[in-house]
Amino acid sequence: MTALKTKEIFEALKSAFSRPYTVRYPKVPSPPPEGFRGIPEFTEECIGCGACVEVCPSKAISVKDGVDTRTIEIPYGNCILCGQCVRACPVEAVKLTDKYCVFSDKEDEQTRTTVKRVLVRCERCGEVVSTADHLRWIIEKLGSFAFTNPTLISAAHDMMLGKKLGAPLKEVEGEDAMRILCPKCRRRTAVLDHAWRSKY
Amino acid sequence: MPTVIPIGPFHPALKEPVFFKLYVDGEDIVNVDVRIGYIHRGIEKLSEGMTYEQATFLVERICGICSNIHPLCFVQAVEDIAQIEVPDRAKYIRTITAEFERLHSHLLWLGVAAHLIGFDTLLMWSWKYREPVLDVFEMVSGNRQSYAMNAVGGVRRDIKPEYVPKMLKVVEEVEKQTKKVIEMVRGDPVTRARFEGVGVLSKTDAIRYCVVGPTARGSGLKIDVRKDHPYAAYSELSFDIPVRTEGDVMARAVVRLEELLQSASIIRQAIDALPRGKIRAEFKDVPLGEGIGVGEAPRGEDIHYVKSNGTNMPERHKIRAPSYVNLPPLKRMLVGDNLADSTITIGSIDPCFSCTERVTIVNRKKGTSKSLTERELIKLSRQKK
Repeated sequence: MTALKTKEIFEALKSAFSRPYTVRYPKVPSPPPEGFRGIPEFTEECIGCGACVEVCPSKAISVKDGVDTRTIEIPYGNCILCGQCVRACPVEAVKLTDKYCVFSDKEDEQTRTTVKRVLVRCERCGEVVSTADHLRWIIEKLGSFAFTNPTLISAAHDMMLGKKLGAPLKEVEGEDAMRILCPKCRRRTAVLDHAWRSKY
Repeated sequence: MPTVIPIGPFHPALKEPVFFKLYVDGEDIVNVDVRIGYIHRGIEKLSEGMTYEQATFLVERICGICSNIHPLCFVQAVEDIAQIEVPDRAKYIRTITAEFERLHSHLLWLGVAAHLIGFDTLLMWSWKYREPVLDVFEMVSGNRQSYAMNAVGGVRRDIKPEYVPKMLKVVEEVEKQTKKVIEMVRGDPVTRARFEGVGVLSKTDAIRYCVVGPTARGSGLKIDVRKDHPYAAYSELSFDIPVRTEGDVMARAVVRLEELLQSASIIRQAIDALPRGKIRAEFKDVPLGEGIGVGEAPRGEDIHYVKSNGTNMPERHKIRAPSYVNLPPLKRMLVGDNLADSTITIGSIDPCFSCTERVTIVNRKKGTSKSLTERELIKLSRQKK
């Protein structure tokens, strides 16, 4: 019994005469360890493919397709810091930084991370094909197999000449298959217009 | 006519939102009623609209204290449907994470129980030695809670060799302090007076109410999922199950503290025997079928049932958390005791209502019902059936 009390008193004295156990953050910086899952941030490598949007468990990553721009953004308030976007990204463009305590509702403080990329639309119907960077990435990955797909051939051709991809909607005359087309239009021009209807 | 004392849903003595109605006669409790549902979030329905990978993160957020065991049981249920063979290294990492979670959960419980009897020194003491455990989690998984370690087919992150010395040091420190605390809780006259003989649950009652976890082991039932239906790597590790027969709050407290020592031993064995290899198995898709995943949460046996219809989203997901079955025996434990002992008795079953709230219990009583307000009764009597 006395041995017990001695241990308790010893622990109490030890705590009374040493520095407080609490870390004096924010007066003293408190860096997190390596591998800490902090706030996400997009880098310039992003190709705008939208893989992160598909896997996000809390559906925090949003993609907005304008006329010729795709905007992908992550509001910090909705992100659960899980890191699934980091694992899904094919080019390692999203990273979880080591920042924490940045949540704010003030207008001038950063509340989200955003990236904008040039969007390419189908030349026949105007549906979204993908971003220019994404098409470039696919062409690089496929190598010579890219020549099997008319959309990729047209895109590579326009890129080589420095032209803007996905010229505005035009009347596709003569059942022209060699254009940047969405999958539906590509099947239509290749199969129906070319092969079948042109015969009859 | 007994007086009714309501405790909750927001009360300084409770750590979780629940409504207890204690019918007292002077200072003795004569009857108990409970109302839950304050933290029902519709998790089972939400997981039907998400893929299996996404649902793992939803399930992690059922509860902050047991945030490793819920995803573990869920991924085990999915692996049961698809018959995925988890690599050995992943099984050991799952075991290590689960035992570290038990360490932090029981230390948290110890602090809360001490706070409920007014022994704030022990609260500060146990939570001080809990901080290094959370630091280990931050180092290994990237966060102090919601570790996101488990995934279908294995684990998401590896335990690198440079983490091991710190993990072993923390385990040693926790073991040393726990031995001191066990002596202190069992020997100190104040804790003995407040814990012994309070909130007794006899063995027959424990069997009839089907309790699980330390609540059952404190009443003499030797049940533990890690021994009865081994999962992860538990079948290859050797450890004991501490059991007490008294059935009071002191028995449950000592069972939890001794479990801490057993967890320390399990962690050491698992780190020693950590095999090499992959940490995640590849799998194509989840076929039609049903699967069950069980695990020993710090509060008892946790069950997840998943039904798959062949797509990549679950068709039905049912969760039965341990605090759900540990709640009804409170009627036996509280009735006959003092009002002042009610908070520690409620705290001794370690209630985690975030885990419990899967269904809302509707009690239909004949005649006048004490749980409906006057307005509700009038409305009910005017409705057409």
